[in-house]
Amino acid sequence: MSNIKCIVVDDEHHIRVFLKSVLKLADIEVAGEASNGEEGVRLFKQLEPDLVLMDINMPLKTGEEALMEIKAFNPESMVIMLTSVADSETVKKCIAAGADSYLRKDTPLPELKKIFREIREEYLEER
Amino acid sequence: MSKYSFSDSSDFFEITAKLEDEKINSNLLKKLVKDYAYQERKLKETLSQKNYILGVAAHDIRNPLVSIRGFADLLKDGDTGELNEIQQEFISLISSTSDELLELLNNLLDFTAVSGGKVGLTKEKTDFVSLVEKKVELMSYTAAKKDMSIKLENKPGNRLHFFDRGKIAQVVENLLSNAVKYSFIGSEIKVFIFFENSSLSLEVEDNGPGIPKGEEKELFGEFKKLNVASTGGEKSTGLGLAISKRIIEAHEGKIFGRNKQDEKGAVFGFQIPSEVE
Repeated sequence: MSNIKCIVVDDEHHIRVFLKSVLKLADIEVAGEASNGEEGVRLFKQLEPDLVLMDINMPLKTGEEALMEIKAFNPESMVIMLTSVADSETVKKCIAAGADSYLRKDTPLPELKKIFREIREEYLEER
Repeated sequence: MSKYSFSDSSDFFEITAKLEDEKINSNLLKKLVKDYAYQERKLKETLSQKNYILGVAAHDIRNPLVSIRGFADLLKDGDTGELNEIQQEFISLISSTSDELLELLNNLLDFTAVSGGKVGLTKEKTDFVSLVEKKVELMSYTAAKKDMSIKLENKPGNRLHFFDRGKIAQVVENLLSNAVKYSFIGSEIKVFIFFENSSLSLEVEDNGPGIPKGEEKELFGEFKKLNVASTGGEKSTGLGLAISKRIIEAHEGKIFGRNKQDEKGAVFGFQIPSEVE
């Protein structure tokens, strides 16, 4: 059965581990992870995943900069920005720059599982 | 013509004294302006430090707390294997305590953001019914833990309204969260939406003990905790309704809380002028 392949880009190790655990529960394959925007873009070009979960505030290259490079490389890729409440202005800028959606990091577990499952189902239906 | 004219020596002394007074006043004014500029600079520095501390709180405390709660919930749900009874109890405590801390932190950050001066609004076209539906769905997970349900009683069309989506969502979430906190176990919470010619409003009807007599005026005060206990032992920061009030007033609307007429429970809601697209 075909699957959806994802990478997680966030500078905080615990956030990456948590998201990877929930993605796996939703049957989304985690192909790799990166701790900054620069590494994230490099990993994207190397693995060409279907989905990217991208933090906004990161060292070396911000999420917004990485998003623009990824979209320039492959406009069809699905990029979801990870945010805390305080980032709402930046989120709007990222959506304007081509992000497909955004996800609050404090989304409770049951809803997070549901969102990832829906993303997977919608993606597989479209293919 | 000269500003000052005098005919005898007494006039001369009087005017000299006046000039001296004006000189003193002018020097005093210069000093005050200088002091004011210094105080303004210090205030800006303090505000900048405050924002830095809030930034640290937002990023460096909230995110680890989010992960702690997340990992606890993964363990609690049995996603990583079965737990024994004691492990289940401990992990449930870690989860609920992290939840309370997150709520407190978010409330403090929100309160700081909306207190002291005008609340900044970023209005955009929003489907209010869909916004409420999403919040009801999200809060239903918490309600289910107390064997409660939340029902959106009516959906009056999908018109687009113009308001600050994030901030109004925060108010809706707060009203629903309070209803879940204070309603009796196993009860149903009802949500109503009304669109009128020039306003939109929301009412959340809970099934709790209601607002204690004489405390109606305290409802929206800062750090005010009513003399009523939550039905599941949840804690209250006493900030949620104060934050909501500021947000609704920034939209030039009204927020209210009252007891139900014929049965136990309270109705909380708001009304804001509606700019329909």
